[in-house]
Amino acid sequence: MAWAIKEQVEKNWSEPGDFSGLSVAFLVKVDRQGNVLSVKMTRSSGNARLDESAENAIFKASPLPFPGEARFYEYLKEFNFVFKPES
Amino acid sequence: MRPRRHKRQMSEINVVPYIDVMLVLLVIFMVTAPLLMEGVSVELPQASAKAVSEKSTEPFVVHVDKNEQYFINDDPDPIETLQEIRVKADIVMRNSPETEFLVRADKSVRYDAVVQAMVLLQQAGVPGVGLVTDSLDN
Amino acid sequence: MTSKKVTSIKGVQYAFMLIVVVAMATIPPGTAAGALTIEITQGEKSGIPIAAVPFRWHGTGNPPENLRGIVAADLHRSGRFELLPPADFLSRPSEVSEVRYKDWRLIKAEALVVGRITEKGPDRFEVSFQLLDVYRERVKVALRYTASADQLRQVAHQISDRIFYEMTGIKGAFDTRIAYVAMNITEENDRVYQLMIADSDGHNAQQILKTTNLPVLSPAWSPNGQWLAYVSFSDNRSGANVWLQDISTGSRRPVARFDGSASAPAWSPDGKSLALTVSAKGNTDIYVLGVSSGEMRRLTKHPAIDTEPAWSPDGRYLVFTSDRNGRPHIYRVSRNGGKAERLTREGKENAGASYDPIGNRIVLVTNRGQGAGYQIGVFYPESGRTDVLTDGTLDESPTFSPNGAMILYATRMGSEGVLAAVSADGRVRQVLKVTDGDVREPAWAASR
Repeated sequence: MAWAIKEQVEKNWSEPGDFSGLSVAFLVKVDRQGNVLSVKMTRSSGNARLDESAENAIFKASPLPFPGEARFYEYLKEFNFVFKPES
Repeated sequence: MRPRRHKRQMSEINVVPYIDVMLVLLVIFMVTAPLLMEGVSVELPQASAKAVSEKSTEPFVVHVDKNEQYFINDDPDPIETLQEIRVKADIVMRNSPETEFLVRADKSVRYDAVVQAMVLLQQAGVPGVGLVTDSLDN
Repeated sequence: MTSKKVTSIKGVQYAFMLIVVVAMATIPPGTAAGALTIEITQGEKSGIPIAAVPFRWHGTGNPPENLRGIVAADLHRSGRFELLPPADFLSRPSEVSEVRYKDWRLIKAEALVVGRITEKGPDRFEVSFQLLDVYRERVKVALRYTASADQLRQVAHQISDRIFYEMTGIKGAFDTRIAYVAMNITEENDRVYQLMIADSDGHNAQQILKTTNLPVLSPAWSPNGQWLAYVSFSDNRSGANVWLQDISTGSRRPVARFDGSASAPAWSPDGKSLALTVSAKGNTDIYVLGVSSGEMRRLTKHPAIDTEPAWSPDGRYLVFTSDRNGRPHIYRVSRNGGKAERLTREGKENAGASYDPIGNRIVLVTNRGQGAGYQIGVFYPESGRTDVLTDGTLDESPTFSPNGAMILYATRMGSEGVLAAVSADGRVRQVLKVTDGDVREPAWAASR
């Protein structure tokens, strides 16, 4: 599950350059269909280009692949995404 | 003598209830910590949430107005040929297959005109088309 | 007993509050601890998806240049962008006021370029363009230029430079010039050599020197872009000499007179010295020449061949090719001379090295052995690793773009030599449109 989401976001993330060593964190809220409801940057990398490209990736990845079962929703309605580019 | 004995009694602390208390504390901590964390996250400001949600769940909409003119999304100009619906839906299907496709028709529009839009969307490979009727159209 | 119990309960309450305070303090601000954390480490390397809408033409007849085409080709060639096909555009705005951002999010463009060309008078055009952030719905850059028809290509390259900088944080290098040598064989079987300069995409080529049956080799730009140093022969009997030519006036002179021959000029970063290969008395070594003083200083002294010098960007070192250990490899020596240090150990042969503008990468021609031929590689002096970027069999003369993001080199297409550009990560390779015959030895100018 987490793997499917990770893969979907990675597929949509176009790294604008080599930013290895930096990292940016987001708190993301989703609805029951996996649609991204809000993206809030909780920690900036200090580089606007990396921050924006990562945020774009989350928008583009919406809706995130979600299990159908409703009981998972309580655990999954909020994620932390940490973008930590490796060279 | 007596004060001394009393003092000795005081220094002899029974540790068993303290261990009990610590275990209870540990349980309380384990149970409450995640709850507390959940509680903190609720405090997040929601100001930007609305705009984002609109962006990430944008549907592809074919509007049909009273005069049976077709409009795609927010384009203020009507389409020139009906095939435009199929071509543009096909582009969106290829680039963002998860998009929701809707036909939004004025209530006075003939059934035929609506079906035509839906057929064109289906020709583009759209798996399901949602129908929205404007009952309170101006 | 009773009172003691009470105090112990108070103690428990106190401890509990302490734990609460500690627990709250240890939650990183803003993150929902307890919520799932997903770590993203690898993005797509296919480039930033960008949509460039054809510029709208306001004028009579046809627009004098296809600006969108030039900008799109520049961005694509850099390897940093994925240009979305215009056939997929749901609308064709030419200005921010006409843009419906949703149309671009539906095709997953992250950035959008719109613009227009307006005919303002005879041979006078106004070009305006905007770079837009699709997901944040804002203007990143908005610029306007006035130009004549023959300046429009340059305007397009300047637009590419702005977009490149805005999106990657690296200064663009599209509005720069290159030099190269073109050779043609006439009907009388004469070999005509032309020294050419052109835009970084190979367009707007201009001849600055033409010789018949006397080869022209190794053009090298001075750091300020005013001079070209190159190797030429005055006649068939004497050896090669290095010439300096002023680009703007066309005047030229040999750098020095000496016995033997000089070749492979390389400018020092301050533009005051030229490193040269000098062959005299049967020995080939590296020398440094003061451009205005004419003073020569011998840098290497070895019975083997030392050639193809190039300076480090800080001017403290030179790299060169030497076969002192059998096969050609890259060596490094201080600008003050002294013992040379061998850099490359991988591969059968390495040659033609030069530094990137920062100084932590060296581009070279590498032969990996087993009949693989010659490819362009990027060598990292710190780790000793070489990344091979091309797959030709006779790729040569690599030169970094002034921003270090691309490499220009010469390769073979059929029997003809052509110029090609490769992104520094090796992902995008493209042959430049140069139609002057057999083309080789490109050099990328540091400034326009």
